[in-house]
Amino acid sequence: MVTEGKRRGELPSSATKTLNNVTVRMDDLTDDLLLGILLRLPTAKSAIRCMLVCKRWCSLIPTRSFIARFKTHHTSEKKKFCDYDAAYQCPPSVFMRTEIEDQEVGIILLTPNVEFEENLYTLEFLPEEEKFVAVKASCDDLLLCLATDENNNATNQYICNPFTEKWLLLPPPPKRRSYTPRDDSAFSGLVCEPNSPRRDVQGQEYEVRFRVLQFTPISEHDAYMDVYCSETGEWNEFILSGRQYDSFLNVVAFDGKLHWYNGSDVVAYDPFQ
Amino acid sequence: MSSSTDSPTLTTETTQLSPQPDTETAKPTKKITLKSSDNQIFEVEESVAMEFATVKSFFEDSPSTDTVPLPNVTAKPLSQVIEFCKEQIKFKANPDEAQKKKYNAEFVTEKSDKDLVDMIPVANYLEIKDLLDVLNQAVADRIENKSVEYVRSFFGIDNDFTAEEEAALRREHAWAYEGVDED
Repeated sequence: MVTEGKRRGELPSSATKTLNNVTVRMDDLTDDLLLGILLRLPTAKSAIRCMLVCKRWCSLIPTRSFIARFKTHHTSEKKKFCDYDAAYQCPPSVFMRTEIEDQEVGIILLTPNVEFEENLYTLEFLPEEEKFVAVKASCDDLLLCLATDENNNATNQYICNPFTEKWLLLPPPPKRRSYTPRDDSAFSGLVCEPNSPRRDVQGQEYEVRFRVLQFTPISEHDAYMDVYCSETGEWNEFILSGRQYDSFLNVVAFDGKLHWYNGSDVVAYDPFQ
Repeated sequence: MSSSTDSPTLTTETTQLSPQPDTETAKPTKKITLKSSDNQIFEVEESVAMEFATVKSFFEDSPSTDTVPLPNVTAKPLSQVIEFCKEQIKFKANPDEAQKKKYNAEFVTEKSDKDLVDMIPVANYLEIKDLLDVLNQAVADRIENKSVEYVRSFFGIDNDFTAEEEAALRREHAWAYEGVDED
């Protein structure tokens, strides 16, 4: 595709002259026109995939203005949760980046893409004493955040919604008897109950039911799993055994289940069963 | 393009310049002549031409003109744009949202990928917002959940990433390339 920089078919006030003098060809898509198409892609996933089409597309998509327009477009079409869900179904390592921008303030900034310089949401609304916070998992609008001290030791875990700025402090997970983790592969997952009504008739938001899952692999096929239940407010401890717990790669929460790749197959785990 | 009987009149410039004795009596509505970059002449009713904001302002500035040159619009997308606007005029006279939606859907469904993409700059240039929205959405829907290779061939774009750059991007957003439709 030929690109010759931005041009638009706008006519200045002296239309006659312009109509006769326009020499640019109109058979290619300007950046504006291309963005008009891309922001109508039904899912953020497709938009991200389109970054790979060519360098020009790659420079247009992960920008603040495109992401903002994409969100606005999808929100105004009453698909309110569509773009958020697309963004938040995925672990932060792929769609959002967490970054401590300023250690003094300890703000975590969420960015829909690594090339995306400026940021849309912060976690500033979490309690002030939390200086270092990292996003460990996400599902729908909710984030699982881990606060750490200066020495990088875990202190508190929060569930929060960066859009409503509501948060919940989780109780500490069960204290573990002595064990040796297999490696550094412990991970957390967050799963929201699918298809639960988001709002009642007055537009009041329902409490979303969710499960926090923490897996701690202890030997080749075995892992501890701690599950936090939003209704009871308590942790439950399980010991899992089987090939499906060999590895936890590409963890994605979707449709009320946690999915991961164990090195040979994709495993789906339903914490609501 | 459909072979509907009220397709835009397509003649060469030379025939257009010859006298047309029947026009005055048979059709009292004012006709406006549009000339494409490849010198095709389109004679459309004034109401249709006024759907093109660009043409409308041209006439407001120079009301005495009878032929509007569109030096950067070729005949094929222009004829399709005219086809669309003729229908929109009918819906303006008799609003029927359901019918309009149905027509708009059919209009894009029967077009080739290239036709859709070619019409976008034209709809933009002529400032036909409704058509631009319809086209943008239609193209977006056609490339939704398609592979990168499919999208490249859809738009006729050459891959200008090196193999290393492409691999790095694929790794970074591995999930976005999963579960894609068959091409």
